[in-house]
Amino acid sequence: MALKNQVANVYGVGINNVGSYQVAGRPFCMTGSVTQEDEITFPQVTKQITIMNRDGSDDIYVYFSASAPDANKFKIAGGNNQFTFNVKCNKIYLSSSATPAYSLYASLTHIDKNRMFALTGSGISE
Amino acid sequence: MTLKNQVKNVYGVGLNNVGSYQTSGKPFVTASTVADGNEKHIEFPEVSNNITVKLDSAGGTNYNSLQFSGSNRLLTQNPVYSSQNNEYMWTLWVSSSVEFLTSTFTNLALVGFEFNSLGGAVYKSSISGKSYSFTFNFIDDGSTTQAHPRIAAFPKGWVFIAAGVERINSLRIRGSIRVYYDHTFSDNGSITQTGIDSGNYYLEVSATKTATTSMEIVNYEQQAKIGERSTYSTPGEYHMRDIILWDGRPSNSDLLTFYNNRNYYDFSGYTSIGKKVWLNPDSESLGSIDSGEVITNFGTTGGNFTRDDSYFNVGEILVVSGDAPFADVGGSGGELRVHYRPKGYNNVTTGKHYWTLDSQNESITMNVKSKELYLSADGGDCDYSVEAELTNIPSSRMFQHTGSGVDE
Repeated sequence: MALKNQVANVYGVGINNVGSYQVAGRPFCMTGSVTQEDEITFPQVTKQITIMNRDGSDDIYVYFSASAPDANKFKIAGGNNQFTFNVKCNKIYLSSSATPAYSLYASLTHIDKNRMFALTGSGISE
Repeated sequence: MTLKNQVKNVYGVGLNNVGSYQTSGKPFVTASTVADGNEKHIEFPEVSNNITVKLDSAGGTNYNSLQFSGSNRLLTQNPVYSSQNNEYMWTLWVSSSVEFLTSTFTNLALVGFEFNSLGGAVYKSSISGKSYSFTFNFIDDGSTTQAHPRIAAFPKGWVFIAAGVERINSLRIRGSIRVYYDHTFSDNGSITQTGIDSGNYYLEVSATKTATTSMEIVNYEQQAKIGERSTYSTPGEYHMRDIILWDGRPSNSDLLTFYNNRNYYDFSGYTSIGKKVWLNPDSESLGSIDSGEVITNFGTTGGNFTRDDSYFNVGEILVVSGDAPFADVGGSGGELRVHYRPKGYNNVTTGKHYWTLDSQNESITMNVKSKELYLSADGGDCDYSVEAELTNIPSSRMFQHTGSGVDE
């Protein structure tokens, strides 16, 4: 049994716990091609996500809600451009009008994905 | 009820609470287009920790010019030599303030070659502006007598000038000056020589030199001079760019192509006639041209330009300026400006309290707390993306940014 379950004043990770984001993260890597809309789910809450568009010309759109309007989608232009998001989330969406290849790297916390709140609202889904 | 509401010594987020910024942020993503001259106000639901703004559209191109006043001038490091008895032509863009061209000033040369043996008043070849007019001064080889076709009218603002010498026969040469201008500009004086070519307005005059035995076109054999020869403290200033001395005479059709309806034309693509001198300041750093600083001559002779220190006067202007004649300044897209107050508020624009993104996919990441951001476009429409990492601090707790570096 973990110590935090045996002793009252020993704390574990938490979504708003600073230390949970200050320790080095667990790596999460994947490479693929965007189909129409791909949902990538992380096993733990992220602290940082980097996505590289490996296509020469087709753009990739990144967003954090399946219901995100176009205005809430971040474009990574083709041509080996990449972008790093320093955000907490448990899933991310990629879409494109074509099938561009991409590489994704995420640094994960030890916070279980189920403890992440649903991302919605301004800048995400409206 | 959350723990912090039940127990006194349990704290929540706060503007000055370190931990509030150390957890990873909640994402905020938005993308849209801001039209040329307009502004977008982006408000965050929570206080930001990091904000990244990216220009998605093709950026504009910055075009420069050289700005002069008084007696300041540039010289090529070495003489410029022509081919023997060769026809030639000057072309350039120039814009002058009205005061510069009043009749009280004489001998206001824009470009040329001095004829040293005759002193400063006579040139082998030059274009001058004075008395609300443009004049082309030219002589034949070995002669001391000028001919000077003069356009006795001056359209304000940017104009494109072409002045050259052609051979008529063994006893006659003719110099002419043509000025293309935007007909929407107001004019000084009466325009008496107006022509229209494919909808483009121009003024043109010419003068002929005749000899009884033979007539040769002058060889330059002097340093090319760009700039003023007026007396110190002469008021007024002027801009020039794409100053080219052609080793031949581009046709009127070529000139129309160069003028390009007052849009940018890439002279590097025109190779039918060589360029003895070509000063294009687009790649030069903006600001004062100091002693010894090199301004590139893209032509084939004379070497680069430097400031003529013997004519330089403190207080007069000799700079690389961001002004240019082209209606399509900004290229296919504009520059995106990022600021924290509306562009018209206090000194946001005049004080240049903004960050500029002017090339495609260029971005800026700002580690700042803010509840809002302003984006404005200049020189063309701008497609942009914004990604922000938000804290859990409600935006209502954020103060308004103001002061130095923001709006004053």
